[in-house]
Amino acid sequence: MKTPYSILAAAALLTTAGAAMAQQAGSLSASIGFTNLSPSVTSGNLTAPSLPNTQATVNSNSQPTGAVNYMVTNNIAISVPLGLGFKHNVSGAGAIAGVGTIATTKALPITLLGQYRFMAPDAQFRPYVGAGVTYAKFYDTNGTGVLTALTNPGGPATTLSFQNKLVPTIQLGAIINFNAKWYLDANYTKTFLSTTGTLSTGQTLNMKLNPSTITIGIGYKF
Amino acid sequence: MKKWTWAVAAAASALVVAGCGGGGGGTASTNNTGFSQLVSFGDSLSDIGTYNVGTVAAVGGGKFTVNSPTAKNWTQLIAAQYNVPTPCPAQTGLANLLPSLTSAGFVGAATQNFSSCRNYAQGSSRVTVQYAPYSAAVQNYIVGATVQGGGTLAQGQSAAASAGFALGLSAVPVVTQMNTHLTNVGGAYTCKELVTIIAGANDVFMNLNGINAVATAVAGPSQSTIQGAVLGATFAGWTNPNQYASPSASSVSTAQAAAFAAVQQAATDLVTDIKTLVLAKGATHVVVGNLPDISQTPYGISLGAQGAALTQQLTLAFNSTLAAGLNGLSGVLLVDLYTQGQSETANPVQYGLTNVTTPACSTTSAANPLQGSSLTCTAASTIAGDTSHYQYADTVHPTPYGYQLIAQFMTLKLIAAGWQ
Repeated sequence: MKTPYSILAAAALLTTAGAAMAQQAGSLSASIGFTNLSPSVTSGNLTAPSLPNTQATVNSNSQPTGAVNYMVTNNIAISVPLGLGFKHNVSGAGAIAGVGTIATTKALPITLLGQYRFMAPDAQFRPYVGAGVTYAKFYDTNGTGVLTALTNPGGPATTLSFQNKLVPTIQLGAIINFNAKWYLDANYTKTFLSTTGTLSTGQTLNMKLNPSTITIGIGYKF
Repeated sequence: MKKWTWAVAAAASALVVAGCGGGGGGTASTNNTGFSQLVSFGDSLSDIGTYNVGTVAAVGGGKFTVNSPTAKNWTQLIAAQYNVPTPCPAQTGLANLLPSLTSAGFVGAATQNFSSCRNYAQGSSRVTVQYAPYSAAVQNYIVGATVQGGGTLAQGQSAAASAGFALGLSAVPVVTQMNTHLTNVGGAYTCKELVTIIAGANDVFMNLNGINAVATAVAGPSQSTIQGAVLGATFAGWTNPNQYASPSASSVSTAQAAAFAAVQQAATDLVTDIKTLVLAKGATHVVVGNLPDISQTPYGISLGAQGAALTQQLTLAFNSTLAAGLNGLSGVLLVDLYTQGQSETANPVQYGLTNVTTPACSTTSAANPLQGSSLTCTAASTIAGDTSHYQYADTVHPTPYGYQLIAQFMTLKLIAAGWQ
């Protein structure tokens, strides 16, 4: 039962550390940091002709990211995360588990979030919730020799593409203001993303990716 | 001096590792491998043109499938996928055609060896025994001076025809294929070869023939059925075949016991050959396919429920002995074609198959000089309709699509084993 007290103490310390923090209506801020994007994959089965339960999984990836935020009111913000895209390996799963990477792809989630920030604009600790939309764009998708070996051995290279999607995203986060200009932003998002991979052989693979991100960034208020 | 010794030893072992290491996966269409070539042993399932001569070649046949310029055996697909030299048959020829065929205008060719070619697989080959379906060995035995149980040449020919289509295939046993390779390469593998082996189905066929011949003689003893029983037992490779010259009620069970022992011996022989003639000679990547479920082929189905059950038991006897013998051997990857084939039969749509019971090759087409046989079957001699996604070309051999499914499953297992 000691923990709640120490958390309270830390919060108290933070709230007394400074004053006149400002993220009030009309303010613009930007942050840079790192984002880890981790898909939570539920793979469908590759359509016929294929080994039953031919599935795939996608690994996580971390990239430097940024965000631009605009306070519409003292509590409502619009946030646009910025990034250069995440590199992912698509690996065999299910009946083809163990074959390694069958494709590589880059994913660029273009997201627009509305946030509700609790507490007063000058509070040191401002938790927030957000919701918005993500346009998931897949590019530079390349099948490996393994993909060809499994789908068309000895034949022309099998290529594939993933369908771009516009999907909802929700967010939980918190701002810790160091002073009137600098702050730390940490947040978690969940995006409800399903996509379909289409192979040049005509086969398709539905995948629920439902990626979550964890972002930590240092921000500056203009 | 001691330091030098260590250094030399270390350098030598580094060389060995470099020489035998596998490659990593590339992003190109082919797998980036350390394999220098494909070496294939086996039977018709791996044969890429041993008998592609004379009339067979003239009609556009040569492989045991629905032949066409683009039809490939699974070993050819794997060679292309692994970017190793295109395989070629180590021996060609059809030198022992029966007079009944040659008089009908069927042309063969003398046997030729190609010592730089690495596909040794021949249609009808057994593991050790030379008496194979449609083989010259069977034919020569009957047509020669030693027709067992007496009889004339004509009767011998008809017995040969009933023991298997009389074609006079060389059907060099797998053990001989392996020895020929060693001769061709100076006695040792380089450890850079991917070796493929599928064999044993013809041992099952000849043992089934033996059982059937004995059962026929028991059911209706006559000079020809008794002669057939003795020949069937001889060709199966059983000891004391002459005991079936006086068939009794217990002869069938005796024959069945002999058949099970024989297919298990074939599997044991194959394991021994793999150990002594392949692994012990330096091969490090040997992929062995077990027998597909022969009872599910059109041939197996044609035997009726009881015959199919016996076929399946013989197949399983071979496979279990093979698996036990290869278990734990370093450098060997056993691929379960039996279970995979059953999966394809059970879920044809999943595999893109439109038919898993009917042969694509017509048994009546005038365009096929060996009507029904896939060796001379082409797109011009298939049954009506789209047979491109049939599993079977004839009663036992896959269509090109069937071979592609085998290649896909093989590559999956090769890659999963890190052999890529």
